[in-house]
Amino acid sequence: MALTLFELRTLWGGWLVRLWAGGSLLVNFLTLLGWWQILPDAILISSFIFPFLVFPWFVVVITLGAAAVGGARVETVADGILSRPITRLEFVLSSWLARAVTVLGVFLLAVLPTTLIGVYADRPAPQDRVTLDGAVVGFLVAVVVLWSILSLGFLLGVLFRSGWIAVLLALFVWYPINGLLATFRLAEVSPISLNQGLPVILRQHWFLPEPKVEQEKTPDFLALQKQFEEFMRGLMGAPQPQPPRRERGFFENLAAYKDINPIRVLLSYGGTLGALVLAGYLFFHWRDL
Amino acid sequence: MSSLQDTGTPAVIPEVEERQMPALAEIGDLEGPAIRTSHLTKVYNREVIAVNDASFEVPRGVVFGFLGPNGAGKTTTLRLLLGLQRPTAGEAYVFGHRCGPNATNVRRLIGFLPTNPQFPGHLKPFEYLDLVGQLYRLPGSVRRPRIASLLRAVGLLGVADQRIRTLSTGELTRLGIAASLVGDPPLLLWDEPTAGLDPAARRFALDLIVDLGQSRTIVIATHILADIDQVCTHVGVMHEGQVIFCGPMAEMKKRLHTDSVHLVLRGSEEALRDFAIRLQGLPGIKSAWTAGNAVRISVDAAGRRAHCLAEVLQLVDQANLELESIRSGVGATEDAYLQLLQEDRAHGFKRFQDSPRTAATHDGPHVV
Repeated sequence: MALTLFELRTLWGGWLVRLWAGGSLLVNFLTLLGWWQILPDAILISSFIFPFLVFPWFVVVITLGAAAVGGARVETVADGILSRPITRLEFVLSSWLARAVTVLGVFLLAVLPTTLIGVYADRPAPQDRVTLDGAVVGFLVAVVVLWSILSLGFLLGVLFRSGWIAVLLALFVWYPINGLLATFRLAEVSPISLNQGLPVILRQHWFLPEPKVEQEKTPDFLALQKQFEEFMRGLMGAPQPQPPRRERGFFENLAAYKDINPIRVLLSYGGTLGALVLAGYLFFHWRDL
Repeated sequence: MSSLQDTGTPAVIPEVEERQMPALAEIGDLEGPAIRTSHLTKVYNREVIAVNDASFEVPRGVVFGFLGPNGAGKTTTLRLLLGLQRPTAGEAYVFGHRCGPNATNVRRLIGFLPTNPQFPGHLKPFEYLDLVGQLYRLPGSVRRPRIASLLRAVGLLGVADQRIRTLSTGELTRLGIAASLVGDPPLLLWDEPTAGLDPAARRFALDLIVDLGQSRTIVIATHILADIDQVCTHVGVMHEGQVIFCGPMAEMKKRLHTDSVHLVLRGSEEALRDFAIRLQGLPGIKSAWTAGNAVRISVDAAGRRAHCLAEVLQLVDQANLELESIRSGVGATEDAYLQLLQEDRAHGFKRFQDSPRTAATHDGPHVV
């Protein structure tokens, strides 16, 4: 625990995490302001998560993992920590845990406030229905993907002494593969596809019951109410309401993700946490300092 | 670096006097040596041989100087003992426990001070030592007073509220010394403890080694012979990855040729030349070399050495020369060390021929 706290303190004391936290918060607020009037809630929230799952924060997460036992840090780790009575497995787990908590912290710091503002503020954007459990599941899935990327960075950091080589390798191998997989719209293996399908997850109920619609209002009453509203609008010269905006661009093909299953996604990325196990094994049995 | 003049000799490290020996189970082998290596070998990338079939023992309770030129393999050997690196072949034991990357029981018995230690710069000295104490699983009630005493003892109280990144080289070394003592280990491995220190800080470190050496085994890896001369009781000499000597300090000095005497004279060139000619005719003198005003005489060890030297001195007087200094080859660590290295170079091929037989028939450590 002492080691985890030390690692956490080291991470938050460093420029990389501070810059990342500040940058992601700023980017998300700019996103919120930029799309304030346009994007419905689910797409807006998915846009907040875009930098984490696609670019550029994705790269920061890989760097965090790869730098844990690479580059200039190796000497500090060897001289100051691993020459003391702790096992390498303890070090790997503590180091990973601290980074996982940091990733979670930065993610929530950047996404949560903007999401709350975006959902609860009275925005002129088209109405949307983001469910609470949909948001929880969506965030959970995104964080698990980030943790699996962190583990991949960890593994590369153990395999290659230079942190930069590990990061570059991750970028030049992972991104093309990620992009290729995205063409098949496989949310289970491609974070890009997952980000595209995220609005579907956010709009569904996953464990809470569906809320009851206003049943006391009969269809006749609703039709009458609609006619009355249209009459009043015509009388006062107010503009007719716009039809719901069709979602375009990165999130345009939501129909392709209508069968998205968060459990499958979680299991799929949870499996890549195996990279952490492999990193621990290699650090334990193979790596010299 | 902050001056150590005011601190003078180090305050007594409290643990030296009051330390409790670690549990017997932790210490392991109670009778054996503190360190034992057997055919320890480390080859990097199948290219660089850092440690080459090194077998040696460090007895308990000694201050052991680990000598060798830069790149001899001293630091690698220490890192192998700590389990920071894995041996390519052979094995190492500390108090009977086998060393390895996950041998926490071994590292609990070792206090390590690296060369130019790298510490987390964002922490303060107390915080770093507290972390080290926690890694040694020391309870807070033991840890905190001990750290406070150590900070005082190494003279870092004045900078206790500063970040480590702001400390000078000397202060970092002292912090490293304190860190190596937090766990109160019975074995200290200090790699170049006086590197980069000013004379006062160096004096401080050497005095501390003498103090600590009364209650622990200390291994100091260095290439600074003067340090070894002052504080070590035993010495190991490493050259090109091999341990070419391991034993008491006195034994190493004895290995020097004892038949040479160095004279430094003052006088005219003519008198010096005349002296050199007359010297050749003296009985008991095997050979004599002159270089400027220095004369090196090789005395026949089988003869009457005192009588021979008396005649030489008489000759100096007769030649109207002034004797500035006279020095025997015995007792100079530097000479002994250099001679060992020279012998090692000369016998390198012989050792290569002997090595397989040695490895096959002799499992224990050997002294070259």
